[in-house]
Amino acid sequence: MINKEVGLAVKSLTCERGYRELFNDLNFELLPGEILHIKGENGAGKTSLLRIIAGLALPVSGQISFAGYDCRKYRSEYNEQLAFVGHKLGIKLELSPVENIQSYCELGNSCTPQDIFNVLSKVGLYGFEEMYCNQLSAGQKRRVALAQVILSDTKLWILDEPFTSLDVEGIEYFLKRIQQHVEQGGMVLLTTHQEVNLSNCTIKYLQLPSGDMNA
Amino acid sequence: MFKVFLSLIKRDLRLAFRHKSEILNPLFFFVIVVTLFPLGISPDKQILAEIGPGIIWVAALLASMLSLESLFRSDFDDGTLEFMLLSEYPLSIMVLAKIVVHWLITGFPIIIISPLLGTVMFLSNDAITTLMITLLLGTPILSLIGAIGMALVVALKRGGMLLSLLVLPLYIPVLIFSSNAVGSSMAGLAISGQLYFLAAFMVFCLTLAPIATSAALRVSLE
Repeated sequence: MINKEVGLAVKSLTCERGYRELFNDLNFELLPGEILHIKGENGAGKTSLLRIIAGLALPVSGQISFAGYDCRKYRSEYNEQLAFVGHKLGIKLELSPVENIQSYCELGNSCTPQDIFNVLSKVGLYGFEEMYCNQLSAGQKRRVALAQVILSDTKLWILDEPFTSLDVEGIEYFLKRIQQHVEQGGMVLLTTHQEVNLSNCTIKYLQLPSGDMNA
Repeated sequence: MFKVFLSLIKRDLRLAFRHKSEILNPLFFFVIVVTLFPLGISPDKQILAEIGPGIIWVAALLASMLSLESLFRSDFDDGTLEFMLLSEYPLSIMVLAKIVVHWLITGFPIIIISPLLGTVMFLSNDAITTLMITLLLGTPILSLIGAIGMALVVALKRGGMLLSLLVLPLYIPVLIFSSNAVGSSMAGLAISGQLYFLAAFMVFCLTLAPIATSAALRVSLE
């Protein structure tokens, strides 16, 4: 049922938070092979927008469709194509990285233990596989969360500030993975205050209106 | 789908055994509350046998309610609840797995230790058997109804008071029928009516509570 030509389409989206309108009549489209970098000041509604698109929050009005189908009606099919990393990482501190990724995988696509060890060594967590996550640093926890996204076999990645507390090499590695994903026909929606410099990738920008109370 | 159910049960049990206080706290609470009554009121056999069923059941009910926080709170705080919502599998299946684990770590230990406390309260052997049966039927109801309440208040910072206001009125039928059944079996009366009611109520909750809980979770996270 997934139409290869059509990606994510957002039509006349309006979002309020605490009786304050963050944006209204937002329209954009994201096609396979594209990156959408959402920009905006603090409080402009970047996280709210990503949560709405992921289906974790309700917009005041507007429609989101994926591959031509309404995301709310076809929730299970949409979720199958979606990987999300938010401010809360979704990492259990009392579990090891391996156990975390294993239980993440069991919620969706399956993966073998070999895959998990491979991806962990690629994200620079070799030797930390069996440690509890509460002994890892903030950046290492972030790497576990991003490893889950890399391992997931989904088309649309929604990344909310994915580079927070990552070091320079880490950011470089994940940018490379994002590029690889996009080259294979994936889509990436992300917010970050860093510049995303990727050669031979289509990067679109979306500037959210500033959070000026008088506007 | 069944695989997701089992894997969540496995994960939550593993988490519970790494946090042993989650298992031991409700159990200690239950034991301490019940054993304080003979000290506080009177060690008289007749009085204790009279009030025993009610006290054991009130303590079990409170122990279950106080442990409801562990059901969704940590998952909400670290974001794994969002992943459950974003999974392609039905949320109610995953919710049911979490409820089963909650019952295994709070309700089940209470059932195991209840004969001991029944003896402390001078209940007859028949009454102790009835007590265990009512707990077996009743504690799952407590976990199931509690899950709906907890799902509604999980996004609130201090939802504890609200949770008990929501959940306690729904617990009361269980308390009435269960302690009445234990009391009746002490007096040698028939108890099948109360047990049928509890069983019916449990099946009712088992079928509908996971659906209600997952709907409440979606509302809470929005």
